[in-house]
Amino acid sequence: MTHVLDRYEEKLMGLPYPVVLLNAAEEVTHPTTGKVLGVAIPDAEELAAAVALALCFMPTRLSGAEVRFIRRVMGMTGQELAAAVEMDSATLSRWEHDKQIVGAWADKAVRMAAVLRLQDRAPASSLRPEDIVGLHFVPRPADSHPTIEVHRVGSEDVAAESEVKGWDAEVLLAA
Amino acid sequence: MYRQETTKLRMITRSPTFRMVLTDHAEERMAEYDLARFEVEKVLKAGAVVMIDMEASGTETWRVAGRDADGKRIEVVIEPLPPSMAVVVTVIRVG
Repeated sequence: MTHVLDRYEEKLMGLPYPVVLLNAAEEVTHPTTGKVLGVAIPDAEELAAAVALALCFMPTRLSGAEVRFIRRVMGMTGQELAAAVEMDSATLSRWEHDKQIVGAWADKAVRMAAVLRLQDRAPASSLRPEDIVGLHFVPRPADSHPTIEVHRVGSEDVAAESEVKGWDAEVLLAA
Repeated sequence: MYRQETTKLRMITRSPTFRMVLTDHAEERMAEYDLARFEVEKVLKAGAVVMIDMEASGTETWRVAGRDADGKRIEVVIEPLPPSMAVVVTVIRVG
């Protein structure tokens, strides 16, 4: 038995702040004992890809933890990502640990690599990959983090004559 | 590796209605080891059953081996609930 929760703060996304799931997380009870087992989130891998994509389109610079999250969702080691964007791996490591600030070009290069790698893994995302090119950064308030809201969206699978569901994420910046 | 159980696990995780449920204990271990939900789900979808245990309550659990996003070895202990559910009992970092 499952019960869909109106709002659920997912703390195990791999980010230092929770991600808000709207009408998507399910409280699950044991089929025979009826005991509440815990919370299930459908398609956690696709969810992570949708959140990582949304962060790529966030108009403020990425924090170290956000860069690390995006890299992990991409399934790349630090050395692999650094090589992909022509960056020294030690620089990437310091960036991920908030010990070094990199230029906007490096920030954007990582986002472009991520969008290319992740766009097919989050097919329900409403973000348009081509928009990353025109992204301009605005200052990020000190010690702030964005609010990320995610919801399940349905689309028609013509071949299967059924509805398929996927994740779409939106980043809301702190005022 | 337990081939038969690994095959059963694939059938569970490939179900369109597959659900991975985390117990409170599993959530605590994942936070301690800095593991994300998607990494544990990935292990269940691609890993191999390497141990089978029977708890005192009669519940059978499978230990599934795989790697996190950084390539480090982890093992995920689950209670399989066919046809489409797996309850994650705990998560262990190996080495």
